[in-house]
Amino acid sequence: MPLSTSNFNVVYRNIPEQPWIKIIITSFILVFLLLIGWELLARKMQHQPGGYLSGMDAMWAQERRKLDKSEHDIRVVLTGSSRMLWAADLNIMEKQLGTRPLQLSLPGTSPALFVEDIVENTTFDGIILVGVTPFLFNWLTEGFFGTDAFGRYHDESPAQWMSTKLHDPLAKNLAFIDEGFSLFELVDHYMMLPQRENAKVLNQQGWKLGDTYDDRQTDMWAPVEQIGSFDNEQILNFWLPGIDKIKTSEEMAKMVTETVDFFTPLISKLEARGGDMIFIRMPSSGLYLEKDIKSNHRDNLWLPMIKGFNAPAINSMDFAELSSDLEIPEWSHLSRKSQDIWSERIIPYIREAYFIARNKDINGVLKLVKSPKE
Amino acid sequence: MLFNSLTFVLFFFIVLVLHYSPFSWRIKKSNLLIASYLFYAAWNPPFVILLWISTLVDWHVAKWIFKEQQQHKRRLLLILSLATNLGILGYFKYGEFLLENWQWLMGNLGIVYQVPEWSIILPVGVSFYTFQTMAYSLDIYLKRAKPAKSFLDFSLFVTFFPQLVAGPIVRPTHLIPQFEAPHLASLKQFGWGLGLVILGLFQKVVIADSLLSPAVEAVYGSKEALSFVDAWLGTFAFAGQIFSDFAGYSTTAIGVSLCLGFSLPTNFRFPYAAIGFSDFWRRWHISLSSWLRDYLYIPLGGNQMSNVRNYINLMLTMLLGGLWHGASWNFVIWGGLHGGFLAIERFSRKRWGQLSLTKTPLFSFLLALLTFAAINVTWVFFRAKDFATSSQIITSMFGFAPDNAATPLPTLYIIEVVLVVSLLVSAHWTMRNSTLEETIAKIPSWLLTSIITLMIFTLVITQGTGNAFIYFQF
Repeated sequence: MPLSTSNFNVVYRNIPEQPWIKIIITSFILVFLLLIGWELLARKMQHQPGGYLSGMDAMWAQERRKLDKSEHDIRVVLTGSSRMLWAADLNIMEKQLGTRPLQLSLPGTSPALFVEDIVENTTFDGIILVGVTPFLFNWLTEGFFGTDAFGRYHDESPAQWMSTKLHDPLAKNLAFIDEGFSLFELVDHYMMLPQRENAKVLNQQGWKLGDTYDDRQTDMWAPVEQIGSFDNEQILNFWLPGIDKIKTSEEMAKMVTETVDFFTPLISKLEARGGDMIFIRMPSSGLYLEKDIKSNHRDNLWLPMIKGFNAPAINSMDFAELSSDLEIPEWSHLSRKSQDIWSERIIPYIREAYFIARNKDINGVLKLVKSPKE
Repeated sequence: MLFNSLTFVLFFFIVLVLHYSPFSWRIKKSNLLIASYLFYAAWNPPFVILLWISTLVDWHVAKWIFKEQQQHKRRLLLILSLATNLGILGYFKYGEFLLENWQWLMGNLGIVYQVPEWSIILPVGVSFYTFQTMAYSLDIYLKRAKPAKSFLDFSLFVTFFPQLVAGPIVRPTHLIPQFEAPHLASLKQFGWGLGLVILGLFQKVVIADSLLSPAVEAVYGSKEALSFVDAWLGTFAFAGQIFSDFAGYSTTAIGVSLCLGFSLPTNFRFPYAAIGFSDFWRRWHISLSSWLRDYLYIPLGGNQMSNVRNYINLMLTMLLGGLWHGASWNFVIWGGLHGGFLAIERFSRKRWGQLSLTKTPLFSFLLALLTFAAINVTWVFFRAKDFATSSQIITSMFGFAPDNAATPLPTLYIIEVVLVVSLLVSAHWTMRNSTLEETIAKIPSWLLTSIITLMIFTLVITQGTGNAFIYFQF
């Protein structure tokens, strides 16, 4: 005799005898009080509300989509690695250029594939400022974060989209909503235990370097700016592995060829439709600068690449006001104060470099509707 | 949509408001059905079509099977249902694997065959809902059940969001009757349901993703041969991670359902307190093991046939169980090992089971230790990305690590793994012969309040990275 799906087999779960509603309400009240304390602790440790929005991939994808919509009228795109991200103050550059740049730089990643994406997959005909971080620039792959960023841009699910919409208002108002202040990130970095030989060094893992706001405006985190502070040391620890590895001149020659071969057709294509690229060698200090000098980056990589590109270029290291005069507290990125200075000072260099290379004014490419500094 | 996401918090809140609003039961069920489709579409909207195909085919085919008297026609109809569900599963989950193996086979025969690029995305939880709907057609075919009376109830059975993508795999005879009559949670059910949701999310976000996953990544991501200690600790960490991840999902699903007034079956019963492999499979992923038993092992003849055939059935069931988890030879090996251990256990029990020595507590304790160690060995194949990695880790676990073997685990991770896995295994042993409900009932309410407070607070300040549950890929 077949059994009906409607008459049997339902085993209902037992409910443990407890005053459940009282327990749940009391717990939520206690959690609320604990969270007030946690929020105060976050602010005391200089984590500020709004400093971390939806995370790197989601925010990058959000910015990238602006290129697909003509109403944003993007005329300048910033690409590069974290050095460009921390060097650009979008408000200042907007004032100087007369148009707000779109920030598409991504930490630990060469701009190559992103430039290719803009040239091949959009109709963008403005200026791409390409940040050059020695050696990383020549790594013509998705790098550390490119795959996830592209993935989020191409395949963001409705659930991810909604989570971003819910997360951002919370992050704007609560300091503790910050990857750098998550419980186990804090445990990893602040709990000092004897180091096991040859084991992974937790203090050499990524640590909070900055805060990211709307439009991916990114600023250095205040504690990292203090040279010698715990947080500054954490960043230096992260840079240390591999910093002393020097490429051979053969390896560098190969890198030049590959990079020139990659970028040259893209430059031509963009130029043909009225746009252009300007390459900017980003400033550095400390052991990073030492490495660049030891490798003779300028002669072995920078100059041959620029010659091959036949495009406007600026080497920040050639000008003290764009490099050595500025604060680079952890050898690689500009402090907030220096970011403002660099963003203001770089614009005349960009105009000049463009004029020298193309013998025309950059404003023609920017197609400005309002004049700079208006 | 992930349970551990802000989107789900909002979604669940809206579902609860609608479910407890003064609508008719039919409208409430329709709300749940729409919510379930939205829940699934939140990953990838087009894949909802697969749910519709599965629903429509099994609804009609099951009715025809029930009405049909001629056995060969009933069989043909069953084949249609199985082909549809297994076709979906095969195409999306095993297509690439089959092509690669075909290429390898052709290559060995000297035939050059270029595999076309396979860019098909695996629909989340496809193995779970195809098995669930197949159970419906099979039950009708095997005359174990009658078809559902309402298409709405059946559709909701296929799609019910709490267990849609990672189980428990629920039988039609358990869930459909619950949809027929109004079900709303009492305050106590609701409170306990929320308690289970908190426990499940804590298991996933805090234990699996934050406390254990970094150690697993460090060990299983190592490119060098590992030391004995690191290989074992990384594997213990994975044992804890996979349990906390998967049982965490089931616990959350049970809690979410309970908040809505529905009851889902237990999927895990303290598996790391198992004594022997058959005991393990009565405690681990119970809804899958019982599915395989009822719809594969028993129809194959189960243990009612000759000894040899019995062992073949067992091995076949476990190999397919392994392959259910993923399209890779590593999963086949994992299933094969479980089949092998089950066969050894059955053989030993028949041969020596009556000896008085086997009834002593010391023997049980040693057997439990051996079971836990052997389960960990099988986890290596489950977790390692390829056979080379699993061989390397197994070599180290059996004491053949080279002198200069890598020791990637920092002191903090070692402390975390030892502490968490010890607590987990102790908890399993403490509750081995009881239920979670019985244990919770004995805890003083002030202590329970403190535990729940601590779990919610830790959950919030951990700020999970929104990692998907491991079993979504299966």
